[in-house]
Amino acid sequence: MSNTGKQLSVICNQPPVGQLEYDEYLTIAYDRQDPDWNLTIGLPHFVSQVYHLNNRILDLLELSAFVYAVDRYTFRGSKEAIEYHSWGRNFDFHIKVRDYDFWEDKSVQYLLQDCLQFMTGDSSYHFTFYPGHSTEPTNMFDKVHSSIGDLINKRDICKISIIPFSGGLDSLAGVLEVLEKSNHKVMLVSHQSSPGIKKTQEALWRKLDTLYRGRIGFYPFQCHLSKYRAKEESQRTRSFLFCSIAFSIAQAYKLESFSIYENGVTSINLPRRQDSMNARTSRTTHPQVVYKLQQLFSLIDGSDFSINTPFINRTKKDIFEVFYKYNRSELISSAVSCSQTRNSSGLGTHCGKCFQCIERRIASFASNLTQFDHQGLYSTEIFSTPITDKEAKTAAVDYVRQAVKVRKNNLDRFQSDYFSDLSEIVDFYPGETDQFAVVEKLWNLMNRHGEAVALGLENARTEYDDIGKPLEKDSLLSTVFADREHLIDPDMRLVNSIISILQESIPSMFHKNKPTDENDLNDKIHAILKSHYPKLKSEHPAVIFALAKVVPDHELEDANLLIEAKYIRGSTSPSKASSGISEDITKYPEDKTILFVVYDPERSIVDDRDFAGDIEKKRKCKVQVIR
Amino acid sequence: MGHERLGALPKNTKWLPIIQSIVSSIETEDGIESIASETLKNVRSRYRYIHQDEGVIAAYKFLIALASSSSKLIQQGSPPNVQLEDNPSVYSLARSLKEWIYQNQDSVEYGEIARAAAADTIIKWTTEKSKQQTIFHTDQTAKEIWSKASDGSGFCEVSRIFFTKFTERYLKYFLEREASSRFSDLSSREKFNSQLEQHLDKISQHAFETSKITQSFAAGWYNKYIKTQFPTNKQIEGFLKVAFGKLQEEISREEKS
Repeated sequence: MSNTGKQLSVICNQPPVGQLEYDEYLTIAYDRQDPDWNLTIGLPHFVSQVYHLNNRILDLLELSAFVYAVDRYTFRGSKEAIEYHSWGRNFDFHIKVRDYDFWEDKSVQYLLQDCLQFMTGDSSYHFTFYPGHSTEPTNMFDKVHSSIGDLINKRDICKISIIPFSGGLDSLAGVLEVLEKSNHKVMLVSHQSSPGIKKTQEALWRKLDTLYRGRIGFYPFQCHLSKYRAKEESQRTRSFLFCSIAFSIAQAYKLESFSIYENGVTSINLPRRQDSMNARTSRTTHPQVVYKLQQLFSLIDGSDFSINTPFINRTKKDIFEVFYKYNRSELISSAVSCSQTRNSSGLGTHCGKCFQCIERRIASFASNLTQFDHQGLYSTEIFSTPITDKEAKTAAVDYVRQAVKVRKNNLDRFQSDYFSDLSEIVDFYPGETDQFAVVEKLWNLMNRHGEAVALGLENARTEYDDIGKPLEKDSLLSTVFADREHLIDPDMRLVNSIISILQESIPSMFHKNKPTDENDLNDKIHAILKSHYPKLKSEHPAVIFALAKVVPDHELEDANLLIEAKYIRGSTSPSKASSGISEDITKYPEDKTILFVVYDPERSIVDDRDFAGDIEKKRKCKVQVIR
Repeated sequence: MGHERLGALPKNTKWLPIIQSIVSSIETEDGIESIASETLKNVRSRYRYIHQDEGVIAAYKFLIALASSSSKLIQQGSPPNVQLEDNPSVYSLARSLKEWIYQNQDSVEYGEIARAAAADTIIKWTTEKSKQQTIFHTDQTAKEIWSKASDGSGFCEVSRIFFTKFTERYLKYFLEREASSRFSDLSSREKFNSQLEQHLDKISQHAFETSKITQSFAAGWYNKYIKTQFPTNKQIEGFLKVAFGKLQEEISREEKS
């Protein structure tokens, strides 16, 4: 068995490579004249916006773009793999740089590797640097000591804030807060990888520019694979690229910091399932990532550089409230949080099913701002309609599960549940050195998050739930507010479980060879169910009724449940099956629950609901048609 | 991008029956036993060799170092440098554990499960051995707390917690991919996790206590290898093989009985 992911050597900027670590290698080139061209970086345009960036910064921008490109290029394995050994890849980069002496330093390399490994959950990153890289000046001012910061007086520089801007709700709220609370100018820094992202970011920039005339700058950096289609969607290195871009702009403005605005719950992103370890819940703005990037940038800068995270103690509901507070709620609908916009349809800008959409939807209900974050933005409605997509249901249920659980738990329980994950945060939390004080802060944050999620769901229930009707099965509200579950007869719960087993097994079992007759069908049903319910009796279980013995196909001892199977094919028409069922209904005792499994592979039954409904009205039973 | 990457189990004849029985597993007495056993059976070729993984060995080695920190042992190889003199917090111990595994791991997947299981062991042991049963404001030093693991029975309990937590996390690694999409209500979903945890705890109690075999083996192994000198990787691997094997046997036996 292989316990390690892909091993790939990566060659960038045509270095004179010798021995490569791994047999497989990839050349990354962003010069369009290069026959190996496969990456688009809008570096010249980006530099010309700020006139000049020094060699070390140019190296950093290229390096982060190369890392991002290789991340997108290298598949991390199937989601259906038994174990996710392919997730942790091994990269050996060979890059020709301008500032060789700096990059060759072991402490720089260690920080780079350490930060990327934690950020991505990859197995290893190794870098070999080569001297001799250079690029042409991008404009006539592109020379030493002529960046944009040199042209602004020092007093004005202090009134500039640099903010990575994705086009999502959190970074937009951060921009708003800075603009409203200070007289600062805000420089939005963006990574643009697709036309959709570009459109969202530019539309918001224009809106902000109209509202806060003369106070907004916008620095987009284009970076995406060309020629190749991305094989990997997780993009865990994107925050390295994003922060490198922001750091570059901060450098150009002679500033010693920039600020990332993301809510604390998303930043710490405590895993919701065991399989989501190793950065499968993203660590984009995790305190440890931010700390390590800060250290790396300080080395590059040659002095203390800070990355501020002002929203680290806020929940998503708090983010919505920023818009309300500053009377800018109308901006909410223009911000796009969805990570799977390709799955949105119609007028919706959001798929409505991904983690980000779920988080945003619940928070908008919690903050009573759904008139701005309205259903029309979402292609799918999860609260009151069945969530048919399995991934969407897992994301929604686990999001709610975690929130509900932390809301109930005391501090000790919170610590023991998340001890391993908390140990990755406590020494990196901004502005607090006492480990236990950090844990208490995180617990308070998660508690407030739990309260907000509970409130959001209550508000959604008020909006969608009609007390006169049952909640739609498999909708988020029916899953969460299952209080009415206790009203469901225990026998019917058992029936539902059996149906879910048979619905999955029977079609695949008879995919090639149909059952020869009803007895054969019953044998197979027995085999399927016996492994789940050892107390199932199928060989002529006799039920006494009116002093006579009647014989159901299957009986579940101690459960008051009988199972009858009908097989509709050729000579057995739906009407014959329904008259057989009618007979069964009268011959078994009233206190028994009966499950009728009707196997109809040729789709002879025209309307399943009509067929079942007529029978189910007559007594306590369930008719399930399976194909 | 995306804040989480969701996994799934393979939809083949090996896994489909397990996926299908997740919901029914909480409704019958032997449901959880059966699903734990079947899951482990599906990955037996991996679980059987898990004792050979460098990260798993490193995690357990760290716990041995904690348990034996009050003894003056002859050092062999390069054991983890665990200093309890400065009274490190549980979080500092967890950080040292992470760094130690990071330097020694082979598979990042097994390494991470082993790290989390060893961290669970650290916090559980500390909480249980602290007089106030809380990690906050504990009245005992790390040295006092870990000195309670420095005999056969203490070491056996530390080991039991580690193997239980490792196996629990390993089973959840598979089952949690599907569980939340299967249940129709949150309380059943929660019940599934708590039943699984209780079952594994019961199993490991049996493997390490009721069945005296592993307990005396663990205590004997401690007395033989840890009283005077730090065990070698080969010796640790040998112990892990027996302990994981015993646990696997117990999990399978539960289903049969």
